[in-house]
Amino acid sequence: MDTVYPGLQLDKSMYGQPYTYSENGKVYSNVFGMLRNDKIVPLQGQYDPKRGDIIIGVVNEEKFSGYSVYINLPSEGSLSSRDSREELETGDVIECEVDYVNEIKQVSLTNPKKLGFGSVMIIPPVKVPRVIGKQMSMINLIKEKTGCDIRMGKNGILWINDCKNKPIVIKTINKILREAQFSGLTSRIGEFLDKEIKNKE
Amino acid sequence: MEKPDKLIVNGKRLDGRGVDDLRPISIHAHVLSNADGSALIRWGNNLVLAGVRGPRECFPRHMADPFKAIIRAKYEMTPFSSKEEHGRSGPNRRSIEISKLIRHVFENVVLLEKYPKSQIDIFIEILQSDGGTRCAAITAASVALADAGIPMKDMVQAVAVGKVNDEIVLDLNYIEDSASDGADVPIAVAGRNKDILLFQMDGILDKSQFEEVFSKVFKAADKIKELQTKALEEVYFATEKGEVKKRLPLY
Repeated sequence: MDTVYPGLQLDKSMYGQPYTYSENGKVYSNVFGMLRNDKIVPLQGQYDPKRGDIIIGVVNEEKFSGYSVYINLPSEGSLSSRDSREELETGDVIECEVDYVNEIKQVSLTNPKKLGFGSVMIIPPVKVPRVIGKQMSMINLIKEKTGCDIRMGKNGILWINDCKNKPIVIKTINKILREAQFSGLTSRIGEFLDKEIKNKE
Repeated sequence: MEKPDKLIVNGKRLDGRGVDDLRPISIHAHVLSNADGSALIRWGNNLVLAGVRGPRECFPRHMADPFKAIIRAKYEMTPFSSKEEHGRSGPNRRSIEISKLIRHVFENVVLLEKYPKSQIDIFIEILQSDGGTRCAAITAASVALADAGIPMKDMVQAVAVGKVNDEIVLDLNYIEDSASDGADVPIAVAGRNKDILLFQMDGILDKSQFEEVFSKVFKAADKIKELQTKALEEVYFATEKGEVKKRLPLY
């Protein structure tokens, strides 16, 4: 496996790709990560908000014009009450859409859906694609085998509803995070889930 | 401690190294679970822990820059770190200076424009010191920043060069450093294009000796860079049957 680190010179075909920069006609990496299919996959890092992302947040404060929502970023997201069909309270977990990101990376949200009773787990945002899987294969596998409802936000906040297999889900997510950089993960997780559920019964 | 008369005898130094040898260095990345990124470096008898938090909301708010992130660095020596009693730890003249220069080193390297109105904190604790702690601190902080996933142009390596008994010597330890006739030149370089990010000098060097200083530093920096990248790779790719073998060495 090829690893990249800040300042490593890359092939010229990588010009303009995310996590690279160019100087004097040469292309360099700017994060620590790995090279997979001629793309840099970072191994750590913060969520980069983009318009249209579905994310999960926790309502932190109610203001007269709307709500401020914790979304795993340095600044809180703002949700106008005009965009919100439901009345929210402090502590509510919501699934919402990024409406707009301004030049200083402040996020305004829209289209909130209240998620009911459950637990919130914060994972590194770079590992979200692994938890979701190709065409949602991983998250559907976990949902199917455990019978829990899981929602994954692109910002790294994960919501699990109150169900009897919740400890197994948390264990599985932690395993995914530990082994995210290795291939063949979905099949390994399938075996792991089978074993865990059998042990429980 | 009694000072020996000669620090270099037959091309060997007090600890048995040649003039171009670094002390043994080992780096561990990602040693702390609560910090976003961290690194522990053992550089001879130096032991330095670096932790990184951020990018996070800038506090106090009036310090925030609407165009880029700000970096804050804190270098601190623990009271038990040196041979002489260091007294109460906390900011003093020396640690404020070193904190400032560490901040300047990383302001040139980190892509601050990506995180406007936020701050990145670098905390450095010197657990044990034996000369050259600011170099060890910069080397460790660079690994910690990369481990936190903060975009940077470069990995930074730092090493001190000095003059001992009229010879240019790499990587001074405490006894060589405090010898009165010498010079001590800590230098930090960017790994990619060998830009000089830090250059301090304590003592006097000839013009001809400068070239020697830089050639020695650049050679040493390449060696340190290899160790830095190895430390980062070890965290994520040290595997045994697809499972991570050794991920978190400290806890």
